[in-house]
Amino acid sequence: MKNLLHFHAKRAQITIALICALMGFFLVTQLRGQISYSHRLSEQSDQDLGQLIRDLNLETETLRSEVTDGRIRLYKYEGEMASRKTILNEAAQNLENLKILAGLAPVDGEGIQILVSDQKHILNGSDLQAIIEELKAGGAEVIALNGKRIIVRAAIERRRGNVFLNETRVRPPYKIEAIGNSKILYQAVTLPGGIRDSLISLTGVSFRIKRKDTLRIPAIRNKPTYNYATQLTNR
Amino acid sequence: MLPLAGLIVGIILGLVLKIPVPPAYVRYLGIAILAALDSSFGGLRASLEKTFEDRLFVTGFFSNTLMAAFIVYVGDQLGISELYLAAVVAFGVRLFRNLGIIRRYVF
Repeated sequence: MKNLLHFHAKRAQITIALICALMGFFLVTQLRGQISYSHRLSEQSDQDLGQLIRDLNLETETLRSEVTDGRIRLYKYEGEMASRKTILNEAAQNLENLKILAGLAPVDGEGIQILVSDQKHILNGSDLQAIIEELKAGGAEVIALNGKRIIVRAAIERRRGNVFLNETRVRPPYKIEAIGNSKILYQAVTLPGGIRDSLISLTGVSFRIKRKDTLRIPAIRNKPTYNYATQLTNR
Repeated sequence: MLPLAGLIVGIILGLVLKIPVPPAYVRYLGIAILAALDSSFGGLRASLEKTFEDRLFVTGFFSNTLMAAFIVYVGDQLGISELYLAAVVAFGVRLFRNLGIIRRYVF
């Protein structure tokens, strides 16, 4: 190292010395940071260390109980969420059923299709009602007359020689579709001495029944309005 | 002898000032130390080769340190904290090469 000094300018030495000073400063700062923890512990007495361990144990206990509390809360929330989900699912299912019942949702499924021709216009609303009642007795879930959904408030009657479904005129041949167990529905309308037998005895009336794997029945077109009935709030 | 004196002055300064380093910056400081070490050896070598230029030396030192710190930072941000090894390897290789050249001059 000594002969280094002989052949370089002082300025180089000074500059390098400055950087070396900076490096030394960094080095010490870094080492202090690295060893401070282990250093601090080794300086303490056994009693102090014991106290430290007790403190840390206590802290561990507190944190552990906090974790347990958190876990319990988590389980509770999860349980709540699950029950809420089942309630929601049930509500959704109920809503779906009610929508079908009210005729607000289009449906499809197996069922039967009945074509009733009436060449002499002698069938009354009550005859069609009778067919519909028979289908209901056979477990029909959704029924339509000439493509129009029959809902709870549907009225079929004859006025001045024409058959009306509520305010809409329906003309023969009448097409009655019913979704349900097609076999039972078929039996319901073809029962010996039943509705078919009594209707085909009339002149100009014929009855054609088809079992279908898929029938589509649309939703009602206009939502029903309630001007007089108001719901009682259930308390 | 002056570099040695500078080193000692720096060490004393560090001991006196007692600046605490947050754990997050330990790696930055470590890389800065390596950069400083590299620069010092580079400077020593240059002065032995008589090609020393203090402006080049100082800018080299600072740009190396900043670049190294930047690499550490980028590594942390990208999730490849091992990126700082690139700086460590680069500095390490140069350190040993400079040491070898200095050795040849001195002995």
